[in-house]
Amino acid sequence: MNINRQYNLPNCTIKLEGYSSAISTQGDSRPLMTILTAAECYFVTQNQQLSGGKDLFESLVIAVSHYAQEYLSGIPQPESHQNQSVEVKLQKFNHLHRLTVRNSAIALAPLGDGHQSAESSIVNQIDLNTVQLFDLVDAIDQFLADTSTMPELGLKLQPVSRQYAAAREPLIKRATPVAVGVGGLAAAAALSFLLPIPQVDKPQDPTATTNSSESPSPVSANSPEASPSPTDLETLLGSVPEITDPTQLRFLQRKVYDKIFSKWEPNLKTFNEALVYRVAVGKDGEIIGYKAVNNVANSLADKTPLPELLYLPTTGSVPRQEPIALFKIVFTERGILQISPWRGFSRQPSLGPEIKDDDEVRDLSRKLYRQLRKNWSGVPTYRENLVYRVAVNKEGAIADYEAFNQAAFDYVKETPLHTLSQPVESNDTEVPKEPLAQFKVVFKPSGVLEVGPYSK
Amino acid sequence: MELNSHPAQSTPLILDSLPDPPLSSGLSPRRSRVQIDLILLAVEALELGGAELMLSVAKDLELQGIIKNRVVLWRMRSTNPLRRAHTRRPLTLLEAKALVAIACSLARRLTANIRQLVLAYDQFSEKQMPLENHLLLSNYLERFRAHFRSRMNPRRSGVIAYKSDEKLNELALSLLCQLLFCTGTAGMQRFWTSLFDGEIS
Repeated sequence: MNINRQYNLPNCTIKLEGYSSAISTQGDSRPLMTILTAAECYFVTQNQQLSGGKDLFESLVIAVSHYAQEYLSGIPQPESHQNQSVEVKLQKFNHLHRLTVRNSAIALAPLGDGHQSAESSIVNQIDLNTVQLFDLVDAIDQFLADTSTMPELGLKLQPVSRQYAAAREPLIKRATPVAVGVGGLAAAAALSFLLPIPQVDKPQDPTATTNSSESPSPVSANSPEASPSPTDLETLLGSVPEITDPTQLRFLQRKVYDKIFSKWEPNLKTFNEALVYRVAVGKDGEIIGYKAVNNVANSLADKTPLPELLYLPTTGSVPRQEPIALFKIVFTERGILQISPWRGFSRQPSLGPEIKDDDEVRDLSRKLYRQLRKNWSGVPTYRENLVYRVAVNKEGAIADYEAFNQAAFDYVKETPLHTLSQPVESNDTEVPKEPLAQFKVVFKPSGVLEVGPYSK
Repeated sequence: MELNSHPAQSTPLILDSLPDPPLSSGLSPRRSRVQIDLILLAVEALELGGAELMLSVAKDLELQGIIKNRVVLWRMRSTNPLRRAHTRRPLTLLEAKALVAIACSLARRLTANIRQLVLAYDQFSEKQMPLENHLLLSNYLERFRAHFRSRMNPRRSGVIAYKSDEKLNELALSLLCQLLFCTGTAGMQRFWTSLFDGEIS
């Protein structure tokens, strides 16, 4: 006995035809459809339709469901396994969503309905606007929720793992609307739809058991966010060289400061005493271990960004060999962040090799001034001068900069520095090797720009 | 503390359909907290009556055990780090689910309105006409911008990015489209799952 099912939305109608493999009980008003023979998806506004068999429909369900998740989170989803013979893709296309169906097998026209020829369905393209896309998603969700039609296909959603969202885009980019595009949409995605939910990887948790005894990651029975036991950090220190070069320490100090500062949301009410930690940092600036120095720091570690920033080795059992630097990090009760090398600087840190030639420096200062002036726009919202140290290479490109006062730190987005600086900033794992010229740059609220010689 | 007060009680029925994501902490990640608060902000821009309406929906959905009163609701929303009133209080997954259930329930009530606005947005962008020409859409955008600016801390880098009207409009429209998807048959589950994309290992 043929069974027909239909899911209607204003812009999209899905019709399914099939039969039941089970012996139907007489008088069942809604018999169970277990075998799908034909599927049709009709788009009202476009007056277009997709028709095919089980393969097409299954691919459609996967592609649409994944695209919906990608649309909501803005995070690209990994390739999904679709049916080989029919490939369905959804991609962002200007304001629209382009649905492409590639049929390598001959399309099956629905029984008793011959108007869809086999040739025309080899590649089929339909552009949907957002409301039409939503109707398609909802028609499919209604089908998935319908337990009397293909009950083995149900809604199975699973968040995408971190590795697919490797580059943490800023919120603005992730949240940009249809018009702007989510960027690089891959049609298929990670949410396995027709498959059972895969086993989830062990969460990267400080309490995870993958850490070896040598690993600096905290292991504690009390709280998942407790700091590493003293022995861990001590063992680590005994087994790897310590970074003592003042220039490199200074570099790491800044890197760690930026990292923690950007994550720290001080709340003055949470603690009455400064939290002091001893922190081990890899030469890439990753925080690889920390230890509370005072009691309050131990109990309130989760109020600091340290647990969140802790780098957990992916290869848990391999002991770390790289040198580390030790810092003292203080979160004061007044909301101030202080970072200093644990053993201080053995001598004055330098800024790396410098360009000394007076003519060259003068030239570069003019270049820098022009470059900043040209790119500095907008009405300043700050009331204080923003003071920076800015380093340029011999081509005049901004290789590095550092805020000198709090306002400079807070309002750096209003200066052209963060857009103009070369990627050195992102991979400054090493002290710069090429000689740089150092300048002091001041952005004044009045719109005045000053580029002067840098002195300590 | 209110966050410890409910695990003993059985979870409200509506939250059963939202699975716990595989997060070790049992707390909502930063992005989820931001998104949940923003989607509620978008609802408020659509319908006047904000907090009271949310509380009455909480009651309808039998979520009073989690959201006892206005202050609790406000504290939960203030876990959004972009807020002026942000506190470092965590947002448990149960609380996050409750807020998502409220947002989706309100979105459903506003389905006709949301559909109409998204359709207008679709049509106006297709014809490249300024959205301000559409009265309802421009009302929504204006209210969203006002809500956002009055509640978010302009000194946080996440907020600085939305300084211009244009950027804020983009955000408002993106949220509006997300709300449309929240109105669907599996909208709540889809929105919930999307909050943890890229947050699990």
